[in-house]
Amino acid sequence: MKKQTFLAALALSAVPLTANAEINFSGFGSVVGGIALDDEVSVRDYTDDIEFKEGSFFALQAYADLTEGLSATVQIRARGNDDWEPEFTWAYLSYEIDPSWRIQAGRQRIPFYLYSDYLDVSYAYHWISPPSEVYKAPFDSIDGIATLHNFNVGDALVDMRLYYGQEDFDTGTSSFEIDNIISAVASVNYGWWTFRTSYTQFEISGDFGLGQLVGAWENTPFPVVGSDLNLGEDDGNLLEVGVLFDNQDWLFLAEYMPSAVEKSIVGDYTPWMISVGKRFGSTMFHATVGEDKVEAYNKNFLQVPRGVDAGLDALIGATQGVLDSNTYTRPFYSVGMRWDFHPSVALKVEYTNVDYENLGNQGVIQTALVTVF
Amino acid sequence: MNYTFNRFKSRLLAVVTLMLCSQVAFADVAVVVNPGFAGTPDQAQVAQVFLGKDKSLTPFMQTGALADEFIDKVLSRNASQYKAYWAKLAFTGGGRPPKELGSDAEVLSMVSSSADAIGFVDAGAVDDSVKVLFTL
Repeated sequence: MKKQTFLAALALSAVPLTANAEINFSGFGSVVGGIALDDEVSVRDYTDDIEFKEGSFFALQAYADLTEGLSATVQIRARGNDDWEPEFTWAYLSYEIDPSWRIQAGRQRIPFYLYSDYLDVSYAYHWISPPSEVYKAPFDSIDGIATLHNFNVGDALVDMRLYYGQEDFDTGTSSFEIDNIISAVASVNYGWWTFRTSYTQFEISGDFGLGQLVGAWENTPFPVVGSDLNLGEDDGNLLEVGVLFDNQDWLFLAEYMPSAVEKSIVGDYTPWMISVGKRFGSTMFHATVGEDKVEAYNKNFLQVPRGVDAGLDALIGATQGVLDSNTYTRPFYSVGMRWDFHPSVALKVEYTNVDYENLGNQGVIQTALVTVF
Repeated sequence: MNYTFNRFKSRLLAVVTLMLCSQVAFADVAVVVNPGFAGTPDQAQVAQVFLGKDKSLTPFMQTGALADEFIDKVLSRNASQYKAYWAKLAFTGGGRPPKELGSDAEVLSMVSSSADAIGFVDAGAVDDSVKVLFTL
């Protein structure tokens, strides 16, 4: 947190030194209401009580051209589910070497996915927000450095980026540290088509509050089963391939984003989605299908002999429960509408249904007013 | 007599209204550059400039019906889609949207005084201070 504040201060302090620096303010926000249709199961963190806080947020961006290729960008976002406590999502200095090469240093968005770059700018896409069933990365910004390069090949515009940095985050109960994040992104824009791929690797440390279980395994001949339940500088990776077609009449997109944290309870994720939309004047209808699929790593666990020792069997039983909770296949679909009823505000309504295997099909209705200003 | 006059008046009003409406709806849009600018970009290239993909010229936007027509015909979008496009870029550090000027007069004065400026005005407002690339 201190680091972010420092970067922001650095970015801002650079401003008054330049006589002509003009600060441009802009912003965006979403006010989202949602209600789950079942009184026992919450979907996207919505319950059967209508809730306006969970998905709502506002963000302000300040941009200053410091001349001679340098610019400073600071973005502050306040989210309802953080009790509107503002956080710096971005604070970076950008240096444009020439119109096709740029370097960015500071806190910035790391674009794992097709929509990562403008994840919060709901006004720029059809959903209320990209499906959280498949956009599952627990963090979306890093502190680090990036190079951005774009060039034309015939009529196609190619964009290539490299990122290096780190990030730490809390989930409320546990905290995680992610180091040595290296990410490469390539996208090609040709007419109404965008083809994109990204590859990210990182080291992750943290625990899931399974300390007792880990400790118990350490007292057996199979301590490795315990360490598989923890994250200690474990290697992770995330690949993404996506295609987007949008001719302002029809919209089509498909995205596959497998990721894994090797030999860990986090395991292998293989989520995908396909979305189609059609515009009728100022109204757009869309439908999305996809699957949230994960398999916790259990190779070492399966090597442990069963039925040898009662204590060991109890431990196996408890561990099986934990691994099972992170091994599932959840297909989902959503249908929705966007209505541009005002020059800078759109109204959105969306129904999402997730098949939770054991808990059955569960639905959530969300509606939102989204804006840019 | 009074009745006939009123009818005449309301018809006249209808005709004038129609003329005014048609003028608003069918106003020709002239895309203009500085007279000193030697290039002759076509509509597709002008679109690239207004979408930030071609930085060889500095574009200036307007608001209102004239801008809607330009955005529709040259950028193949509606005003909301244009705004969404730039929201996407502006909030990702990918560029700044074209500056918006308030009137034809402001566009003419900007384009005539800046060598790499490009804008659009109502075709009726064009004067010698600018060069017309094409008219929509």
